[in-house]
Amino acid sequence: MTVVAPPRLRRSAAARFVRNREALLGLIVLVVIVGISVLAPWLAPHDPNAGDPENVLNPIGAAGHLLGTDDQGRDVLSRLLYGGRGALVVATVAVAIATVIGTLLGLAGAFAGRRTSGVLMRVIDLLFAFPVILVALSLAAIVQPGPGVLIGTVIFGAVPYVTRIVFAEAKIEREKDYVEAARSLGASEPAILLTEVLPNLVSSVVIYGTSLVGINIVFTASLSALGLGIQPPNPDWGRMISEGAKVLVTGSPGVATFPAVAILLVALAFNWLGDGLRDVLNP
Amino acid sequence: MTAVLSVDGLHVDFQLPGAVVNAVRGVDLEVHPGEVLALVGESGSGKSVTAASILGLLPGTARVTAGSIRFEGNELVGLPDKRLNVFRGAGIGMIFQDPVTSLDPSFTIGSQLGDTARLHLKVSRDAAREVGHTWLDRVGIADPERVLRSYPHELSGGMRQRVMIALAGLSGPKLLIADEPTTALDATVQKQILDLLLDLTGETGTAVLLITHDFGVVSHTSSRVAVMRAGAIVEVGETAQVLGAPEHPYTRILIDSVPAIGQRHAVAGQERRLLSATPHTGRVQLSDRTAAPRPDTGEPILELAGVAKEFAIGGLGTGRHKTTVRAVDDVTLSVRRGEIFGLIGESGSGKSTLARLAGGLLPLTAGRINFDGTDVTAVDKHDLRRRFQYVFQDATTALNPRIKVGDQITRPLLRLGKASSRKQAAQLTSRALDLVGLSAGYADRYPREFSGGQRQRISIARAIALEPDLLILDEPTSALDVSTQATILNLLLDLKDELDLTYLFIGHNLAVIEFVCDRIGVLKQGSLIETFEADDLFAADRQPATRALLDAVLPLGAPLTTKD
Repeated sequence: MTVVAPPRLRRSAAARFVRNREALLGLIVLVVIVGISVLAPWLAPHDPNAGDPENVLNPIGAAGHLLGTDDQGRDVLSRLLYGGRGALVVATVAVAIATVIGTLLGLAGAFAGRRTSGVLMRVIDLLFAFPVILVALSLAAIVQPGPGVLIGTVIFGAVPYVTRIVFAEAKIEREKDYVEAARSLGASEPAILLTEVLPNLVSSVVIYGTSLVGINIVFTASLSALGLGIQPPNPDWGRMISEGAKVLVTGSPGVATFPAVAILLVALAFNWLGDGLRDVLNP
Repeated sequence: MTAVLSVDGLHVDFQLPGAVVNAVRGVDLEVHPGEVLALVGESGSGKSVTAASILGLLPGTARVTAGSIRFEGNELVGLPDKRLNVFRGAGIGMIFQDPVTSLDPSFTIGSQLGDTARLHLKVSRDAAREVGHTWLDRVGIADPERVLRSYPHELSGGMRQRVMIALAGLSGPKLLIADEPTTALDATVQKQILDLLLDLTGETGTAVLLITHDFGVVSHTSSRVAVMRAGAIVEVGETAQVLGAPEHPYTRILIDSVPAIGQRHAVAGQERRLLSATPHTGRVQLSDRTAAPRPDTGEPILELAGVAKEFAIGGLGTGRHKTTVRAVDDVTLSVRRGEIFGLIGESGSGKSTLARLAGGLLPLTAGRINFDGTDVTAVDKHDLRRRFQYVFQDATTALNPRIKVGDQITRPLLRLGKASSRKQAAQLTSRALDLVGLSAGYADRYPREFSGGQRQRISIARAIALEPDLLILDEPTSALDVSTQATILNLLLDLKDELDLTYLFIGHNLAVIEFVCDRIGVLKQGSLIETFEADDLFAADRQPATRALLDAVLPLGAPLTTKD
């Protein structure tokens, strides 16, 4: 009584992704920005760190400087093209690490005994209450301010959120019959966690992680603006905003505005991508 | 006699992204004053959509595209919500399937009844409370004062459905729409609720449109019945006429799908199957091991001695005192090799807990369990898991939604050493899929791409691919439509003969249990009341609990003239 399988009705995830305008737009914006950052050495018309005392605070559209120059005569366009490199790498790497740590902690919390899980989650609650800016300041005191401080701070700030979300979802998954079915089919507890439950959590983690990158691009920019992140004279969007703010009202709005727009665009794109992925991965 | 409700050529479309689904295509219905009309069909046949469109309760994606719905001569299609509200409640009452979700959890029963009374009867707050009190009395609630002060979660399912009937009834509607009012309830409660509904509507002459999938309910309650399939009505007629001599083949299938008590011996000298299907009992081989039939010695394969299980609830951090609940209490039974042992009981009687205890999925509080002569706590876990398998109630949750079904079958094969290589595991998988009536081509799909019945077949394939000795079936068909249930039951009976399996079949439907099983055990509140041969179900010395279950079975009523 063999039945030939009829053709499949569902579209693949990739096809659904392409049909989702929001996700596609987010992805395109990101690809463009990442591409520009990678190709910055070839695209930039000037050395981003080379000051020119003769051409300080050139207006937008000045000869040779399309977006003008800052208070040290450095080309704003070149600095803009280079400025995303640090922020993008730092935010992506830090959130990726935080997601892995948070997922493992959340899974362990959900499947551990009552006492272990209680202790773990109360510690996570404590981390929630800890001011992240203090972490950044202490890290900067211990190691040199720079990308390391940013990564450490973002991990510290993001892990509790990821853990909470994974914990809550894994607790729901744990009660589902397929976990018990896997147990009855001889799977060990670690195998159940990693091969049965984890695939059901991946989509929410990816979606949440994508939005987290967007948030943390803004956050690392703030830290850099405070002087805890990327150090001068290296170009960084956050640093550019804080330096440009000084000349914002004196007739050179472009110095701070262009990096601000860039940050806004990246953060929006990551959030669009996250929202779109939610629709694609959880049909 | 003019109809209370007449539906003419009703069409309802669902506008989904990329597709339009014609859920209802040309339904004609008439409900006359004082009659009970049953609308029967399987899930997805459009019966609930029809009911929802009468009250204008369709979801946002649905639209009535053609046809008319007239209530006492008033056209309801196209009326704005404000004008429909004149008819809702006062003219047409509604009782929903699940009393848990259809009562507002944040308000007391008293305030919900009172609000309805004040709205429809225009009485004062105190008088409304009086009305609520009398109605709770009428629906057979013993202590109305306490119930009026209670929140929905403090009441049992049967009580909540009584409250729903009071809510729908107190405004004195001309028509009551009951959408599967007893599906979520235990069999013994179902009959009480149906009788209550009949009594109340009989007193006031209210017409009832009863939506159900159960022909037992139809036969027990309705005077006329309409059978619905794929959005259209295929047969309408007097209940006795339709049940006794159905004209449409689909009606016949629906009726024959449900085993009647005593049907196991309907055809003498032949293996029992539903829908007059021919048994497939040729010995098949999944692998070499089953080539020789296992001796059917009648020895016990599973023995439970004084098994008990307590659950702790409350304690630190829950805001409640720590207490223990005895879910299973001193159960002793044995399942013989080669038989189908049925375990029946109401919800909360501990049957699923007992099933999990038997396979060592839950730790025991007291007692001993032997599987094939060895204690399950001492035996090698790999060997136990391979020989002792489960099929769970709801395949939608028992299959991992994010893993391809092929992988879900091959993984345990490799893990438990049933197959030594991926290739061999894949071969076994496709043979197991063949055996349950699917094909190997389904292996690379995800569970969501299958229907409910197909998913349960996959669950069964996953269990039998391991060639177990004992299969525990925990309500394997209660989440399925009746015609699907019939094919799954036939499949299980076929597989048992083909693969020399022993079943422990858990259920709450006595007709199904009696049809499938050789011996039956009755569980009540965690205790095993009695065990007996299925043939002795009607013996004089049955316990009251068993008799209650037997009384709760709603027979088809009409003589089974269709048997041939």
